Amino acid sequence: MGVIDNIIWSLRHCRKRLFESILIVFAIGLGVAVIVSILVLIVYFRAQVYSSYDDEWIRTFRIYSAANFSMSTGQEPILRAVQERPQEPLQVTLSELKALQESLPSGMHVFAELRSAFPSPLLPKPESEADTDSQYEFIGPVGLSSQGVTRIVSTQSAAVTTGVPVNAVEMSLTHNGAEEDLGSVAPNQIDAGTGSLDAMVEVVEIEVVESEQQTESDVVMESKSMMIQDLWSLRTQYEYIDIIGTTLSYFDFKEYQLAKGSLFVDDDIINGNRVIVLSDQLAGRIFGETDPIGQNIPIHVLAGQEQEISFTVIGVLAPVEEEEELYSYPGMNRYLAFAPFTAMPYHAVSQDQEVILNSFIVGVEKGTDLAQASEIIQAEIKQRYGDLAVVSNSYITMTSIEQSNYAIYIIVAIFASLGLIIAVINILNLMLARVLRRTKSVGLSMALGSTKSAVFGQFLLEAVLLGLTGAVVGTGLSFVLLKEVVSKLIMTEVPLGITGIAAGCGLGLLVSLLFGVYPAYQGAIINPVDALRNE
Amino acid sequence: MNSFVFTIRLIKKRPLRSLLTILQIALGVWIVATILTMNLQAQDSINAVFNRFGENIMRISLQREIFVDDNVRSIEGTSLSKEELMRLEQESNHVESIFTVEPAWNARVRAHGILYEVRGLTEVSANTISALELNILDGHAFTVQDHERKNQVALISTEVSKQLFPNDSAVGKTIELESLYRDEYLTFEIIGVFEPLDPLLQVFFQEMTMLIPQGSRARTAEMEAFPVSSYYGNVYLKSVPGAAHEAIADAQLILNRDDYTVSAEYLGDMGRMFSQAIMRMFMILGAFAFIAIIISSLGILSIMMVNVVERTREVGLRKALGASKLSIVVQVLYESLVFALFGAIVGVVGAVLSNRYIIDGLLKDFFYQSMPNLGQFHPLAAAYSGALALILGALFGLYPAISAAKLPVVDALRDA
Repeated sequence: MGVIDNIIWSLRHCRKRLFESILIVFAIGLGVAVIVSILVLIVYFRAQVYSSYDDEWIRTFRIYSAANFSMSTGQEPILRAVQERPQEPLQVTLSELKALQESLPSGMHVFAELRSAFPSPLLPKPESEADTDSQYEFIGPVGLSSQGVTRIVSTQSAAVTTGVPVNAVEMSLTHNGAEEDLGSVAPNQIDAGTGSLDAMVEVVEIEVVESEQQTESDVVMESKSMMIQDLWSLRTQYEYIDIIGTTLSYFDFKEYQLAKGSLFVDDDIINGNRVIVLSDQLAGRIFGETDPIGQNIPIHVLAGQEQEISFTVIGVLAPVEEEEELYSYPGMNRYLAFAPFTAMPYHAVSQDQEVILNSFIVGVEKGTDLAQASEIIQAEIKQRYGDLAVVSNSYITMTSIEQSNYAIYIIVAIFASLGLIIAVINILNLMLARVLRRTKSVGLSMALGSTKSAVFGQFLLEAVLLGLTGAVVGTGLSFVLLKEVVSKLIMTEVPLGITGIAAGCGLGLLVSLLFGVYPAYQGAIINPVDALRNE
Repeated sequence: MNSFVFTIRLIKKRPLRSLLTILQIALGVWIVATILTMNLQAQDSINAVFNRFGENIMRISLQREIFVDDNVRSIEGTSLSKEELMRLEQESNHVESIFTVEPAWNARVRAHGILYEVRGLTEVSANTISALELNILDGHAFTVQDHERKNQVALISTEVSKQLFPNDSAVGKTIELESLYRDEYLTFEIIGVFEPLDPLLQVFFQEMTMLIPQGSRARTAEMEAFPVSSYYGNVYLKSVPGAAHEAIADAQLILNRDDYTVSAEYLGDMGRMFSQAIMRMFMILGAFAFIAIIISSLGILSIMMVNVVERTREVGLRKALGASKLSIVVQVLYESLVFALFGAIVGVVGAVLSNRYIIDGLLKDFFYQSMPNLGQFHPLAAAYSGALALILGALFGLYPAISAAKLPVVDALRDA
C-alpha cells in the first residue's frame, strides 16, 4: 500500500467512529489553541520588554558621587548592613573623562549632562496665548447629600492676561446630556498684577434638585467665556530655552548631525566659552530664514538677582525625529540648545581652574548587549574610582522586573500546557480503546500477511492524522481566542503570526506522535491466533 | 449503594483506561481549584483591608493644570503648610483627622555600632498612628508634643525589633539615625514596637518599618533657618464615616488657594483597582482553566461512548431481561459521575498540597509582598471546583447514557 492508500484507509477508520474522532480533534484543538495563544502572548510581552532596550533612558548609565547618592531597587531586606559613605565627593577631571572614553570599547560614549531651562528675551510669548475666545472647562468637586440634592461647592480662580476685563462668568450645568443655564456669576475680586489682571471667581453652593436616576458623574459644571492663564507662564513674558551643558561625545551618543556651522571644541570646554549649538526647532523659532551663526542668544539667569548672559551661536543641528519612548512626553525637547558644560550659568568653577565634574554619563549605542555593557562599565568605574562612584542604570532594575514576569510566564505556561496534557491523555485513552476494539480485524490482516510494522504504522498514522487535524482546528481557535478574548482583556491587539501557526501545527504533530506510539505498539503486538480465536 | 459497588467493579475492569480518565479530570479540577484559590484568597485579603477603612481615607493634594504648550498640558502640584492642615482639621465637620506619611528614602541607621540602610523609615504626624489603627504591642505611641517639638523618638515594627534586638525588649533602647543633611547621626529613643501594617495598605501609604515624628531628622538650628520642614507633600485625610466627598468639598473651600484645586486619591479606589487587576488576571487564567476542564469532561464523554459501544451486548441483555430505559441511563450516568467524583477528589487534594509551592513559589515577586496568603487552602475554591467537575461529569455523561438507553434490544444482542 502506498502512502495515499494508507491515509485513505486511516480516514475511513476515523469516519467509522465519526463522533469519537470529532471529540478527539476538538480536544486537541482546544488544547493547542490554549497553548498557542499563551505562547504568542508570552512572546509578545517579551518583545515589548526587549524593544524598550533600545530606548535612550535604558542605554544611559549615570555615574554619581557615592557621597550623596545611594541606590535602591525597593527589594532589599528591611535592614541591610552597609559601609560608611565616603567623605569626599567624586571629582572627575576632563582628562580623566577622556582616558575613560579611550579605555571603554567603541559604541560607548562618555559625556557630561547638565540640563537647565532659562527664559530668553528672544522668545516672547506668542500673541495667541492672550486670546480671549478660548474656553476652559472644569469639574468642580461634587458632593452628593442624602436628600437627593446635589450641592456643588467650588472655587475657581483665573488669571487673565493684559487688558481683558472679566465682568461675568457664564455658568452652565450639563445634566443628563441637556444643558442648563445657571446664569452668570460676577467675579468678586479683580487684581492688577504685573502686566496682567487676576480675576477671582467664586461659585458657592449651587443647589440642583436632581432626578432620581442621576448619578454623580452626570453632573459636570462648565464655566464658559473665561480664559485661564497659568501663573507659571506669567512669571515671565518669555519662553524657556532648555540648555544642555555637555561634552562632545554627547553628540555621538545622540547621533545628532550638524546642519550649519560647527560644534564646540575642547578649548571651549576648558575655558568655559559661552558658545551654543541650537536645535533645528529653536533656530527656526528665533531666526527664521536668517543665518543664526555668530548671533547672540541672551538668557535670563537668577543668580542672586536677575541678570542677563549671552551665548554665541556656532552651529545648528539637523532636524531629528523624536522617537516615542517610555519616559518622553511631547514638547519635552521643544527648544533645545547645547553648550559646553563649563559655560552653564550655575556651573561652579573650582579654585585651581581645573574643570571638575561630580557626575557624568556613559551612553551605550543602540543594539549593544546591555548585560555585558553594564558589567564592563561597572568594572571600569570600580577600578578607577573605587567606592567614590555609584553607577545607576535602569537596566539592572528592568532585569529584576523581568525576572518576576518570568515567574508569571512559567505559571501561565504550566496552566496552559495542562489543557494540552489533558487532551493528550484523552487521545491515549481513546486510541487504546480503538485498538482493543479492532483486535479481530488486526488479527485477520496479520493472518493474511500484514507485518507488525505495517499495523504499527497504520495506527500511528491514524493518531497523527487526528492530531494534525486537531492542530489546524486549534490554530484557528487560537486566532479567534487572541482576537476576541485576549485582546479585549489586555486591551492591546496581539497578532497570531507565523510562529504561532508553526507552533500550533508542531505541537499537534508532536503530541499525537508521542501518544499514538503506545496504542500503536499495543496493536502491533496482537497475536493473530489469540485475536481470531477470541469471541 | 449496590449500583455504586457495581460501577466501581466496572471501572476496575479496565484499570488503565479508568486511571487515565480520572487523571484527566483531576488535572482539570486541579487547575480550576488552583486559580480559584488564588482569586478568592486575593479578593478576601483585599476586602478585609479595604472594608476596615472603607471609603474614609484618601490622599489629598493641591493641583492645577499648567500649559506647557498650546497642546501640551501638565499637572503641577504644591505642598501644604502646617497651618493649612490644622485649619482644615479644625474648621471642617466632615474631617476626622489629617495626617501625614512622609517616606525617608534610603535612610541610614546605626545600632550596636553597625550601620544599616533601612527600608521603610517614615516620618509621620502624631495622629497617623491612631488614624491607621496601628497596634502598639510594647511601649506607647507618639504624643502630640513629640510631633510638635520634633522629638527624637522612634517606633519600630516587630520585624525591625526582631532583627535589632532579638532577645530583648526594644523599648528604651537608642539608635542613631542619619540626619536630613547626612553629615551627622542623631540619637533616637525607641518608645514603642508596633505590629506592621497590612502589606496591602503599605502599597497605598508606604512601607512602614520605623516611624519617627515628622521633621525630627532635621537639626533644630537648620530647621529654624529653613522652615521647609513644616510643609507637607504626603497628606492624608480621614473623613467621618460616609462623608468623603463632603470632606473634599470642605477642603476646597477652606484651603482656597489661588487656582489650585484639591484632588483626592481614595484608598477605596485603590482597593477596587486591585480587585479589578486581579479579576482580569483571573479571567485570563480562568478562561484557560475552564477550557482545560471542558477538555477533560470531553474525555469523560468520549470514554463513556467507547464503554457504551463495548458494552452493547450487556446493555441489550439487561434490556431484554426487562430493565427500563431510565435504569440504563442512570447506570451509565453513575459511571461518569464516579469518574468525576474521583477526579475531583484527586484534583482538590492535589491543589491543596501543591498550591503553597505553585502560587507562593512562582508568584512571590508579583503578589506575594502585598498578599502573603494567596496559596492557602480556600474551602470555597475546593467546593466550586469539585461541584464544577460533578456538574460537567453529569452533563457530558448524559449523551452516552441516552445513546445507550436508545440501543434497540435486538440489534444489541445480534451485534458482534
